[in-house]
Amino acid sequence: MRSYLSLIPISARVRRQQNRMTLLCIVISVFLVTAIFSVAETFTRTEEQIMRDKHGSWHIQITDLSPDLADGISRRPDVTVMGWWDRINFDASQPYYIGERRAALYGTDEAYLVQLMNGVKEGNFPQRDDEVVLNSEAKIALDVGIGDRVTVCTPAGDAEFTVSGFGTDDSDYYKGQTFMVAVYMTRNAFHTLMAQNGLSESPVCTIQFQSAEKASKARAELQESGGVPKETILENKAVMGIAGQSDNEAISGIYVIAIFLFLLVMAAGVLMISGSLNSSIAQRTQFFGMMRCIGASRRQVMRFVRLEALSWCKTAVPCGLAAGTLVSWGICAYLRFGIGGEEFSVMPVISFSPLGILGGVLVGVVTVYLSAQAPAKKAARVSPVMAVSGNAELPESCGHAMTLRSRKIESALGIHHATGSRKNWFLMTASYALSIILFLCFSVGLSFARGLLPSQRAYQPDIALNGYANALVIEQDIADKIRGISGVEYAYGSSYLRDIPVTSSNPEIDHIHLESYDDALLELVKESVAQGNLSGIFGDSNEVITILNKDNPLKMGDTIQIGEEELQITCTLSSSIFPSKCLIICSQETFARLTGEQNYTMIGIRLNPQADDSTLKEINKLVESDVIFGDQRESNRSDNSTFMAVQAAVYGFLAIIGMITLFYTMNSISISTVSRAKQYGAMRAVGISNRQLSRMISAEALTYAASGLIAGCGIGIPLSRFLYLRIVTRYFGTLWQLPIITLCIIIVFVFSCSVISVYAPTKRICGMAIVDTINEL
Amino acid sequence: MNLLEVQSLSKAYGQGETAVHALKNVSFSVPKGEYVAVVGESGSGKSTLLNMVGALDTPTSGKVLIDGKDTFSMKEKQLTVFRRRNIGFIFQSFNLIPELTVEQNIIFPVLLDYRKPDKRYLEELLTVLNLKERRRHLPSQLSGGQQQRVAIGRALITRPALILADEPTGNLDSQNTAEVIRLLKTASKQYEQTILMITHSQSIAQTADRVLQVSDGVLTDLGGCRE
Repeated sequence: MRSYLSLIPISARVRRQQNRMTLLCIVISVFLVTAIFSVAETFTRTEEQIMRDKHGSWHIQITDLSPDLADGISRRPDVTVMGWWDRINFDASQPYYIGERRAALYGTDEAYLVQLMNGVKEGNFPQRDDEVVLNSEAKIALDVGIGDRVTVCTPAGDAEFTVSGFGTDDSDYYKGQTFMVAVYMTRNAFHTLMAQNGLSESPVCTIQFQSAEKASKARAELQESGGVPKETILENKAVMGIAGQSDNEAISGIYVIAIFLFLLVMAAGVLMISGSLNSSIAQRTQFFGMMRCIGASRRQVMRFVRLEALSWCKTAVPCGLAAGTLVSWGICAYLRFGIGGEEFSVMPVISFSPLGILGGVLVGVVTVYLSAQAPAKKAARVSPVMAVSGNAELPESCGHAMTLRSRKIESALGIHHATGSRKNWFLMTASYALSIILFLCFSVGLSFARGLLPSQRAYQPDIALNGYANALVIEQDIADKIRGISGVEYAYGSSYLRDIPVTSSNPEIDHIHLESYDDALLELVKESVAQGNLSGIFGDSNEVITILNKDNPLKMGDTIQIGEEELQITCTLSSSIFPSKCLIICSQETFARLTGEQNYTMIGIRLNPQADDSTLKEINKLVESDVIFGDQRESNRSDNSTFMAVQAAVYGFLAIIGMITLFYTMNSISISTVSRAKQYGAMRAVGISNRQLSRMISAEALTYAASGLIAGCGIGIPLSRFLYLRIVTRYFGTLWQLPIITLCIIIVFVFSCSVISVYAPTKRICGMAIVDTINEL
Repeated sequence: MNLLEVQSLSKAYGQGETAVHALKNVSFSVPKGEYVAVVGESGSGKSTLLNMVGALDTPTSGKVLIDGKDTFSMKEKQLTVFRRRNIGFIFQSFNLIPELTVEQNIIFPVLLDYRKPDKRYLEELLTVLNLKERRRHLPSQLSGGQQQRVAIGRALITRPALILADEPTGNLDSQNTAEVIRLLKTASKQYEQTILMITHSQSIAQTADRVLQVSDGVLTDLGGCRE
């Protein structure tokens, strides 16, 4: 032995079994951080790639940029690529056609479409002014290939082009779109067409910088010294946001949440490890007393405890890192192969995350060091007398007597042990309460996420047929024909008319938008009913529905007069297909009576698993050119994947918080029993049975559980109700109900924690010979 | 009639050559109502003997019969109840429950039996032990001598046949020592209880009806010394 600190490895060998809990706590902390950060980093990298593919790799776009300023920007050393684009007829409202399809015309340079947007998927960017790139869907819509000639019809005359390739800078917009095609031509060709049609151009400059950070700085410089107005600069939120450089509040909010979660995990880690170290110190009071007896200073004892804790990191940190990395691979594999979808199907499974590993090491060492502070001080405070007389933790100075009423003595004592130390009681209650409050509040968050994602609604279609500009152009018998196609699970129809003048009992209302739901759709929206019921809506009636949310002034019970017809709102729904402000929904029959219109605006189709390409072709055959065919299967799948991932993340996080509470409870009960070992020994000598002893420790644990439950539910239920009303009821209309299932899960969790935490200490105390417990410490 | 019979009791710690024999084939008996002192040097095996007699520890071999019942043949649960009702313990370091008052500490064994304490007997004990004024006090508010009197009260409350005292005066000054010994003798006489008391003090041992000496694990009966 070179120094007194050489005792640390010797002590570690001897106390291997007792140290297991502390090691486990460190491993769990490191594991959690490594796993969370590894998955987050892999997800961020994947998301960054997806975002680049989807939205391009540019950082900012500037409109109305003067040529001088554009020249100045192009010469900046931090600019890597600069491209230009302009377009007309993006909403297909003007008479530009290729064949029967409406055409959106784009004038771009190669830098924009190829380098910044990676938009050309087949063939080449136009090398001459008579060449164009078409969106990939145009291949089917126009039945053309590379090298074919197409004629662009404009109000000022036709222009002939050769197709040089296929692709788009906005794949989301054109996906499944056969109503219109995108035509990408050179800026010269676009300029000529604009001049022929007497239209002015407004090209947009798209810039990629060396990094998002430099882009952020350049943006500020351009605004301040370049005189570029803020409103003319648009940032690529996806690319800038994921690099943490966005000034978008929603994206900054995500980073704030990430930091908050990191701090929460770290605080929980400190709590857990500190609890375990305290337990370890409490079990060795006599040892530290002995050290003080034979001459160790307080400082030396503190150093001993700190170094002992840090020495555990040698084993625990690598174990935590390995476990965290392996679990992160498992999660990535599950996200990729189990959930899939657009977001996760390209996620790498086996990858090492420098951030995760660094975070794990840092949290391991820092958390252990911080956690060791209080126990080290506690150990240093141990009086040398303890080496001879026993336990420092014995509550000899208990300030108040216990009151005995009709309770059994062992239960009364257990409750008294729990409530005797106000600080410990508060901490234990707070630990449980925090878990419960988080659980209740996160559940509200999940309800909100469910409401946000249309794919979670029962009537969300896989295929939507929409009349262009919401025109009533789809005949009712098309819906019947679609229902008969193999692979279709159900189809429903809806009609929509905007701005109908009305008089109403609500003086704010002078016009409404009227929407119809056919019987199939009314059946599907039953689960979205927020107030009233749907029974009076079916068939030709004067009862109608509105949407319950903060933007809609219409309310349950309001009356509306359309012409001679008086309608009453007898039901509210939490969501609708069309925008919900001033919206009245009625049955198809009522709609026909009120407006005289029979046709649908849209048909929603849900496919069953047997659906294949022939199903889509058959549906497509029924569609006229004025109907937009929208295939929403991929976006539904993507939404579902996102929701499942959010759900997994939320429940995973709650599981972590739950686990930390469990460990904290286990440590606290363990400390409590260790500190009362001698007292328990005396009680056993005077006749307390093992069952009574077990009941006493259980009563202590259950007191913590009950007070935690009362505090957690007392704060959590009103808070979750408040949040629910603010974010779910306000936006989706769904009314708050007591979350009985969630509360049952919480109660089971809390009492399971108590039972688990009592088991080991009770077994240890009851397993010891009475003589040993009396002589313990 | 013998209340306590110890037959060929041995206790060894460890095994083989490293085994330490704390008690070596100890046999003795104590009649009902006798007050016996056990003396011996530190490490001689006195406390081990007391722990065996009180069934707090298990012997390597031998038997202990209390009121004719073999304590080591009993199951744990049965033994706990037997101990609670028939043996009273008094420890050198009092071992009172800090959060219970004097009165609550005394009635604790009765409460463990889910019975109501005999109020008259409790009052009598508090009077005999001179603790009436202190009945609502916590142990931390008492002197050492008072705490030991509470421990004696706790040992007497179930009217046990046997009281085992492990150096009950070890932490007390001479005045309190005399008081505690007086109380134990009174109890022995008044309630006809058998007392087995470990002590280092020859003067205290001389107050006993009989003295047993333990030396290196071997017990020797030194006979009566009170007269």
